[in-house]
Amino acid sequence: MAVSGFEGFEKRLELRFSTTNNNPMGLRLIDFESLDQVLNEVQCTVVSAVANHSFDAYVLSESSLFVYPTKIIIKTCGTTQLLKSIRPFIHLARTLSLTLRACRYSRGSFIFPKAQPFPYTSFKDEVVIVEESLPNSLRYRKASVMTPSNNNNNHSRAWHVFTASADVAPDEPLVVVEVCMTELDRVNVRSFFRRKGDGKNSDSAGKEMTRLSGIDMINANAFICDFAFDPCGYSMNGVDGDRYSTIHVTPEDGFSYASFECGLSLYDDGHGDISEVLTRAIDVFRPDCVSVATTYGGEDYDHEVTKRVERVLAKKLGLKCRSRLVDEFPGSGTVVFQSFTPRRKYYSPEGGEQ
Amino acid sequence: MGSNVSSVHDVPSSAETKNGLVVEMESRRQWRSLFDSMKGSNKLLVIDFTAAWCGPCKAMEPRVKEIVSRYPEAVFARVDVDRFMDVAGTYRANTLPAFVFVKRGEEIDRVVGAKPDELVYKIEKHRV
Repeated sequence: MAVSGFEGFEKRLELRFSTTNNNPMGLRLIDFESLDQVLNEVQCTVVSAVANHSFDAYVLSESSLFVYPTKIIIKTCGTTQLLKSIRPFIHLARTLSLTLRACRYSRGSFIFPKAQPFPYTSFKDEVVIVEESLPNSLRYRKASVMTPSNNNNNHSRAWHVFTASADVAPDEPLVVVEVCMTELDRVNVRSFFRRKGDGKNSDSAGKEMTRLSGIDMINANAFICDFAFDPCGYSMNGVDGDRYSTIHVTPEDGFSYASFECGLSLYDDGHGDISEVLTRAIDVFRPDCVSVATTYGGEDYDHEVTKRVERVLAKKLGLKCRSRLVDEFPGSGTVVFQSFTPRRKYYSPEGGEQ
Repeated sequence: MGSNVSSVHDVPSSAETKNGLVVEMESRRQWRSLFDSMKGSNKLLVIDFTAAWCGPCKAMEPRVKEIVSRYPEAVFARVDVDRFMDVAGTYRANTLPAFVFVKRGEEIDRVVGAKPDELVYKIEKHRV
């Protein structure tokens, strides 16, 4: 592990609103100048963007922002001040007659925890800040650090979640899957370095990375808005009807990291089974360490799905599930947190097994 | 037709294009006339598909205005996909913003997304 480097692990914030008027555009009516100001507070900026009938998708200098009529998802990495966006977003929503009804803040464990500014040096401090920013109407609150108990390697990364909700019943129809990958395969990761003198701009270089890496095959239906950073690094937002997906890559050796996140439904066959989608996404990076956090925001958590994901990842990618944790969050649903490492390493000259 | 009286009621003549500006399409007649009039020339037509619900379109607007002013020899037509659903359908403009490059009535390229660098790159490539 490097002593210091770019922090790939993201902080993620989701805000859900209810509306008193019938405007179908909701939060999408927030003018761009106002959005830009909030992003400024967080210390990031828009580098690319795309929209369809369902939502707006922004690629940021440090991850992504999705604006649906009644939902905002913002995910930022590095040393960004994500929680500073809570109050401004709530205020902007209020000017559009939208009331906050649920909030979810989550993240993995930082590769370089000491490099984070306050309050991100401790989850307890982050929770205090989030709570202070939320109205009292969000009565049902829970903070949890889901820590794998296996001690057989130092890969054990915890998953941190804080949720707050006005209602105890969860109501988000989509399942959210957040995948965090470290120790990426050194050959695969080469796609995410710019070639010197390629004469391309960030958009076309990004397009090439999408193609070369196979990211375009994860969901062939999705339109991909991609961006290549200089000298390396990659981000994309995928747009497929009302479904979003997003990938961010920090390819440097010593702190390589890739995240994949998407919202999907368990029942819509047209979009691909969750296990298949996960397999294709993880296969792009062939990491030595993967965690999958799945949030079932509706009423119907099915344990069979969790077991199937483990079976498929084991069979197709040789990834063994080392730990599985499940927790319930009032108003937000069930969160399943699984950690995987290879049963044996992919490129092992000695042919040793693990 | 042909009168240049600027009245708030008149829709600008379809043959008139404001060089260095994006022309907002106000009617089907205007669009058809513009499209047909460009078929006979080698001039580049860039259709800028936007919508009221498209935040990224609004985000990019100032940059588009600035870019367009630099290429007065090309024609930029803004088409609202909800007002002109058939045109949007013809060009499959579902993901926005979408800049469709047309020459002699045929699509030759496009840029989808708020990508100013890519837009400039392709205008440079196709303007001749």
